[in-house]
Formats: sequence, C-alpha cells, structure tokens
Amino acid sequence: MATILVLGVKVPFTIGGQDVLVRSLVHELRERGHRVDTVELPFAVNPKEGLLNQIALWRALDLSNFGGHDVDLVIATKFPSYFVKHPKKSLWLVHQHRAMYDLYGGRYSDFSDDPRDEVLREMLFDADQKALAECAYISGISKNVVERLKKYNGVDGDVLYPPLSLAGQYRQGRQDDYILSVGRICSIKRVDLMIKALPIVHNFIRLKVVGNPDEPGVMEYLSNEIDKHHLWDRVEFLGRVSDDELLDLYANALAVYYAPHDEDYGYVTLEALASGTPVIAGTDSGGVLEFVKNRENGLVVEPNSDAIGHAVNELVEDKDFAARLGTAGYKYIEQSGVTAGGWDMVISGLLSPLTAVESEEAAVQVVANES
Amino acid sequence: MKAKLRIAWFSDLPDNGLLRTVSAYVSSLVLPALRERFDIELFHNSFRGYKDYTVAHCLTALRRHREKPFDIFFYQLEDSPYTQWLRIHCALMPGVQYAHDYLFTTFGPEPILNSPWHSILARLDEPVDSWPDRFAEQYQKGPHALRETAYAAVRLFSQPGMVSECRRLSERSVVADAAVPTAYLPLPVAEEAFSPAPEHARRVLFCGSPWVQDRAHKLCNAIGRYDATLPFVWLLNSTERASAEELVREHGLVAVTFIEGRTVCRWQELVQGGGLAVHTLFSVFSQTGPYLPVSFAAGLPCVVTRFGHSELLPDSVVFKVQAGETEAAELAGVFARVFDDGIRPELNLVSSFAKEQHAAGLIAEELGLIFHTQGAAVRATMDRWENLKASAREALLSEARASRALGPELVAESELFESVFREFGWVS
Repeated sequence: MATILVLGVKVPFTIGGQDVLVRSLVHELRERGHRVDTVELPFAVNPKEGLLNQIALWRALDLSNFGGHDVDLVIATKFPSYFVKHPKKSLWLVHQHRAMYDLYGGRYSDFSDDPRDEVLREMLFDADQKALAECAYISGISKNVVERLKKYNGVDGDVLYPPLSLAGQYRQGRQDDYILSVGRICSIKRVDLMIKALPIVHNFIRLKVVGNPDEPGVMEYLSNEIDKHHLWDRVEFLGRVSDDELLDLYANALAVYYAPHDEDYGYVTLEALASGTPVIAGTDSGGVLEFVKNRENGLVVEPNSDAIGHAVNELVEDKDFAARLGTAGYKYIEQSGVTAGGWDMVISGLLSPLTAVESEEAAVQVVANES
Repeated sequence: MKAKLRIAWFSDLPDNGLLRTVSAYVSSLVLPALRERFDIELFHNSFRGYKDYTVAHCLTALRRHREKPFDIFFYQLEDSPYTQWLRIHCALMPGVQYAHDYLFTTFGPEPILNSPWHSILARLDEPVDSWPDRFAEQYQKGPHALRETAYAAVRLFSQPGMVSECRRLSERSVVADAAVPTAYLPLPVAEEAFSPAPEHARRVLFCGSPWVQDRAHKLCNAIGRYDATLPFVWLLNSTERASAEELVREHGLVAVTFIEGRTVCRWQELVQGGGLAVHTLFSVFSQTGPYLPVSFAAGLPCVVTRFGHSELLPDSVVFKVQAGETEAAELAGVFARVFDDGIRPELNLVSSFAKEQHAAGLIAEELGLIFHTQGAAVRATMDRWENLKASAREALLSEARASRALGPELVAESELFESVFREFGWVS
C-alpha cells in the first residue's frame, strides 16, 4: 500500500473533465488499497501575471509527510499542479497552459504582443521545462496532449486515456428530437456554432445544453444569438444535472454535438458513444477525433454553422443511419479500453515510479544476499 | 573569414510542394540563393520541415535567439489565413518586413485586435513610469497594417503603391527617429519561367476568382460579345468552381476549360502554351501577385485593370481596361486587336521587362544587399527593443507582486513567493 496525493487544480464554481478525472482516480486508487487523498488549489487565468504566483504557491507546498506518514508519490494533473516539489512525481497531464502554446496568437489566447506578455511566456516556458524534467513518469490523457508535449517541450510521454467515470451505467435509449451539448460553456467549446446552426435545422429539433458558463459574457452572447434567430423555444440551458439525468439525456438524444476547438480529450465524446448516440464533431476538434470517425460512429464536419446544421439534418432525415452510427460507437467503446477495465493500465503507469523503487530495492537486497 | 549574418526567416513555406501563398512562393525562389551567403533558420507555425532547411516552430525563435543570436529577423506578411500567425510574431522582435499586402481583409485574432502597440511604442520615445493598463480595450484604426509596419526596422513592399501608402499613413515606429527605410522589392519569378511562349495562341487565360473584384463577370461578358466559342482556360480553386460555372452558363460560353488548384506553378505551366492573359482586379484588397509577372516572363500579351499598381505598368507591355460600364466592351476590343489584327506587345520586350524587374536571382541579390547594408541599423533597433523588454520584465514582476494581495506586514509570506521566483531565475 502506498501513500499517494492526487493534485487537482480547481476553478471555483465550475466542474469540468479534470474534476471528474481526479475524483475517479482517487476512487480507483483507494479501491486498490492505497492511502489516497486530494490536494487542490484554486486557479484563475486572470490576471495573467498572477500565474507566476500560482506556480510559486504549488512550488512552496511541502507535501512530503503528513501525520507521520511519508507521501510516497504525488500525481499531478494540470498546470500548474506539476510545479509541486516531490522526489516522486507522476504526471497525468490534462493540459498545460495552452494560451502560451498551441493557442498562442489565436482568438483563444489572451497573450498579446505586449512585451510583458512575451516576457511572461518566456518565464512560464522555462519553468515548465524545469518542472517537467523533475517528473519521474510523464503521461497525458490523450494522444493530442502527449503530442503537444513532444512538439512544444520536447518531452516524451505515454498516452493513458481516462476510463469513463460512469462505465457500466450508460444505457441506450430512444432517438428523441433533440441535440445534446454537454460541457463548460465557454468560447473554445463553440456551443454558439450549434445555436447558429439551428435556423437551418428542421424546426422540431431542439438543443439541450448541459453545463455552466465559465467565461464572462458568454451567456449574454448566446442569449443574443437566440434572440436574433428567435430560438427561444428551441434552446434549453439545463445547467448542471445529476448523473442519472445525464445518462438519460445521452441515451435519448438524436445526436450529441461536441465540436470544441482542439480539445484535449473530450469525456463527452466517449459518454455519447457509450450511450449509443452519434457525435457531431469539428474537423479541428483535436482529441475528440481520436474516437469519432466520420460516418462510422459520428459526423466530422467543418467547424461552421452551415456544415453543422446540414449534419444534424442528415441525421434527422435518416434516423436509421443515425442509429447505425450510434451502434458502431457503442461497439467501439466496448473495445477501446476506456471502460472500467482501463483503470489497471492507467494506475500501473502512474504508479510506475514506485515500482521502479521497489525493483531497485529488491535488486539491492539480492546483491546484499549474494555477497 | 567574416561570419555569415544569421537570419531568422519567418514565412509561410511550401506545404508538400504546394505554394499556398505569395510568401511561400517567394521563399521557395529566393532561399536557394540566399542560403549560400547567410546562415538562415526558418520559422513556421507548424512542425513540418521544408527540404533540407533548418525549420523550427515560431515559438522557439526568441529562445534560439538567446542561445545563438540572430542578426536579422525577416518577416513576410500578407493577407492570408496561412500567414495570420506572423502578425503577432513580427511585434515580438523588430526586423525586416516584406509585405505583399498593406490591407488585411480580416482584422485578425483577438491578441492583435486588442494590441496596445501605440502605447508600447510610445514608451520607446518618451519613457513613462507606468505601463499600459492591461484591461483597457484597444481600437485599431481600419484594416491598414499600421501595427505591423510600426514594428519594422526596414519596410519592403512587393507593390510600389504600398510604399507611398505606408509612408503616408504611418504614425509610430520602433525605429529611433522614425526614419524607417521603406522600399519596393518586386516579386521574384523563377528563372525557368522566362521562356517565351509560342506566339498567337488563340485562347484566353485567367486565374482570378469568380468574385466581383477579379472582374470575371466582365470577362465572361466580353468573351460572349466577342465570340462565345473562343477557348477560355480558367485556373481556379475548387470552392470557386460552382460560381464560375454559373457565370459561364449565364454568358453562353462554350469552349471553357476549368483547371482546379490555383498555384503559381500551375499558372507557369499554362502560360507556356501561349494566349492572352487576363489579370483584371478592381479592389484595394488583394493583388495580382506573382501571376502577372509570370505571364510577362512568358512574353504573353496581358490585360490589366487601370487601377492601383497595374495602372503604373508601362503601356508598351500591357493592355489596360477601365473598370466599370465600358469594361466588357474594352476587353472585347482587346480580344479583337490581339486575335484578329495581330496587335500585341512585342514578346521579347515583355519578357525582358519581366526579367529586369522580377528575375529571382536579382531579387535574392537585392534582398541580400538589404540585409548587409541595413544590418547595423536593424541591430540598433533590436537593442532598443531588448532594453524595452528588460523594463517590461521589471513591470511584470511588480504587477505579480502587487497581485498577491498581501499586506506589507506579511513579509514571510512574500518571501515564500520570492524564494520560488529566485529558484526559477525570475529574479536574481
């Protein structure tokens, strides 16, 4: 049994994929007999210069011993949790601070050409390199995340897909006349494209949106779009819902819309496929495309409202085709290793620094015995 | 032996041989000659390579500069989605800019729209204590590349009209006395393009879009008026095909060949077969690009619009038509003169005009000369910028300290942060 701390980065008042991931990992480690707890610090992207302080906060934590128990391993998940100092640090990377990497220079980054921003980017990059080099084991939650690490930081890592948190509970249901969108509501998730697509979608089709906004002004923007296109009766914001409600919503949707820009992984995709519901994704949706295959288990279209609207209509007009995609998605998930059984591989990877220590100790013991 | 100047070359690059932009085309033509004389590293926003050149991601350029300094940062700018990424980078280190557009049809991504560049550059001239408010909304004046060119230590344009336009509109500059060297550097054309095409091929060649600015509607009208059976070869992109077919149907043209995949190389192949090249354009956005010089290089008779850069071309090498009501009739008149009367600019005159202006070797030579002669001035501007960056670093650290929301009595807590800042080398 090992004493392990899982490090989470908490954006207060929101719940995202990382929160589910941390909770599930802690649960699975406990199931395997380890002594586990979570350390979380609040995170805010603004003000930008505060990122230096947030790194310092994590760095200054002493997580080596609590109540006489040495902490054998820490598992970091997301920027800036991996800045923590510990002799045995595993990284299961959800994502880095993307605004200074793959999103830099584009609409989803807040780094401008102000020289202070450039200095900040240089400081953060150097610090990232140092912190990543300290990790005894490096992995990411998707191929997309691991490839970014390789490209931008020159660091190799393993891909460990997070298994579904509600694995075994997903059910298949009806094809009701609604499209489901699940996730935090912010510009990079592009819920607005689906709303703007509705005017060209058959008018009996509605959009149900699960999740809370986590970006200033985003709801005002979406409300304006709804007003502009007179969609008051066709869009429903459900906020956060219970697991059981969510399972029902997935099961009975005609399709799940999930077309974020270059998503890290996309739990939503897998949950939809596990529910036998086809996914509509964007051609630039990143990690989502590791699972959604165009016209096999979903539709992958250009990220614009026209293409999305036509994709929805295609499924509305040919429900057999939608059902075939859904069935294929369900089968795909069964074979993909992201069901409950997948946890063994994840935990084996994340705990490998401990195994390495045990192997070294055993080798020392053998040498001692031989001599 | 004197060391070669080190150049950081920011540009779009050919993608698997495909030249999507003017910048990629220029790079492909001038780099072979320049690499002999300069130590060049290419920077791009992808992770793909280009031939046997050293190509790195653009985000690594300044780190690379710290490790092994560059003498000149070179940027190629144009109005294309493939070169948008350059617009932030050209403001991170001043250098030599070669712009193929001075107007951007899209205003660019958020970090550029909200750039405080006016205030930043003002700090260079009149140092003030406080830095611009980070949350103040910034407004950019129109689509002119005022921001981009303000960061240039040397400004080059591939159309002469842009030189005067930039001089007229520029307000601020990163250069000390705002005396920024500004010049016209014509687009290069590949040496192999200078092989005169067979004379008197009876066909019209066109590489514009079916949209109004390229005057395709007037061209189709003109062919219909003159002779609907006149062979018409239209090089376009696949996304334009449906609209182009509609235009052709509308005017009853019957001998049209569409060729999809508009690239300069395809155009170069096409013009070798001869004909009359139409390069009409009536818009302050966009440009005739390297297509027109390539037609010249082949010695083809060319038609342009009496507007912008094209208006300045010598009448001895080109036919000009007025955009507007008389345009189709004028075009039809040109067809009659070329195909019926055999009146056309003299082939060798056109080709030698192109050679004198656009030969790739000559343009590479000119650019090399600019790097050598302007190197010291560019370096001085870069040093000036580095000083500003040092001051930005201090400002950033002050802001970080201020954002901790710790009272002055919490010295120990502050020390906790500061010890980490020292560990990462952020403070000494």
